[in-house]
Amino acid sequence: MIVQLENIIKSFDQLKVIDGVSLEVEKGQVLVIVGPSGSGKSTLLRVINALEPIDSGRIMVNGVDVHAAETNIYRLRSEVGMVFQNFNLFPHLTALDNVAIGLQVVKRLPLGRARETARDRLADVGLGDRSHHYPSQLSGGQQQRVAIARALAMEPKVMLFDEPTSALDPELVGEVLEVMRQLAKQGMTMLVVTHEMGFAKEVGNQLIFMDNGIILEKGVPAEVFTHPQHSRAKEFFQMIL
Amino acid sequence: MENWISNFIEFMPILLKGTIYTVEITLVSIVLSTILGFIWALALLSRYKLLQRTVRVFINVVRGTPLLVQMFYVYFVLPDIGIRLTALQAGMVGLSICYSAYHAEIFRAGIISIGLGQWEAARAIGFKNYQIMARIILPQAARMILPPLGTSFIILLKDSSLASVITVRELTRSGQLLASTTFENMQDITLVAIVYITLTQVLALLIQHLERRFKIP
Repeated sequence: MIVQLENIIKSFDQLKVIDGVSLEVEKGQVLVIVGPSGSGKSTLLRVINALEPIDSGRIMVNGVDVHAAETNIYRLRSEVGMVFQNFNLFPHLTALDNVAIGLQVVKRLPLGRARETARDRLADVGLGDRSHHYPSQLSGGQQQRVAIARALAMEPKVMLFDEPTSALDPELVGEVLEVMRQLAKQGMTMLVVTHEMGFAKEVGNQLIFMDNGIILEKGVPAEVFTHPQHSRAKEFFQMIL
Repeated sequence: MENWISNFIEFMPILLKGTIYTVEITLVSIVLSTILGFIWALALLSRYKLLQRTVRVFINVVRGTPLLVQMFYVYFVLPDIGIRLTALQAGMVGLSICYSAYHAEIFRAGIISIGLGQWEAARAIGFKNYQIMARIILPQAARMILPPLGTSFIILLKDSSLASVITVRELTRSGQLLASTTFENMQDITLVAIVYITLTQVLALLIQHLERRFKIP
């Protein structure tokens, strides 16, 4: 089990955003997380690389207790890639250096070697010819692919995707999903928050439906879509499918 | 005119000495006030409330009193508690402390202008906070910080003339001394003004150069 959450509780002030979630993801599996906004899906990803603290429970990633006091959180984060809805590329750096800087700063590679690896990762996402462009000179889809390359450069054991296509124009969604599809095919363990149900059905091994911080549905994507047990899930799938 | 030129040659060494003092005070104060200002800005942005409030009070006190009064404090009051500085040192300390308060606000504004997404993205890769500040935040905030910081440097340079009041023989003081021996007020004060203009222009060009370096396409 590469990712394991045990009874996670997390609240912001009075509001419980995650209310006793447990789940497991095996190596090489793709877990798709769906649910209405405010259901706690993004927070669920953010506690896995400790961008947010938890109130109680235990999260294990690749055998490491994420929220234990003695855990080297910087090392752990470098092994868990994250892709954000708004890309969050570094606008003052070229695409190449966006990908290289983590290797340089966190893995302490010399700049030359960091850039070499970065060039390969950019080629992997089909942007080998865009390495000297700045983020503002790239389309949304290209920016998100650079962001994926940036995460992959660190050689993560797990990738977290937080609505990676939600900020994209419809015609740019495909190129990002294609990169993610390839990644899944290569055996990357992925946790994906998304509204792309086609992608979920095709690539997801497991799907959870969250509402108010609770997992309401859990199973193989196609089955959950067609036979949801809860009315909340039924309504949700009717809306977006 | 000939008289003017011979005067100029005669008085040049005095003005030059004054200019060197002015440049010295200005450079030291720019460096110190910038370092201090950055530290105050970090304190203002820290999550430690006590630190935050202490620095906030300090900044308000400094901003609320005239630089000249602060220089008097450093030069005339500090000796009462056993801290004796030369006039030159007192001028530098006064300017540095005074301007550190303004620079703190400039840094703070620049740093908070960069979105939290940048912090998160870097954190998610495994960066530590100081690495995020140095490699991600400051290079972007520089665009916001440099224009007001540059203006502040130029005002600092001109305010170094206040050190003349606590007997530092900087440029303004040299001009005054010159004028009181030659009685050529027009000539001497104009010379002083020309040197100030030259110095501020050089400073402005340096800052412009820096601004270009931190431009983002």
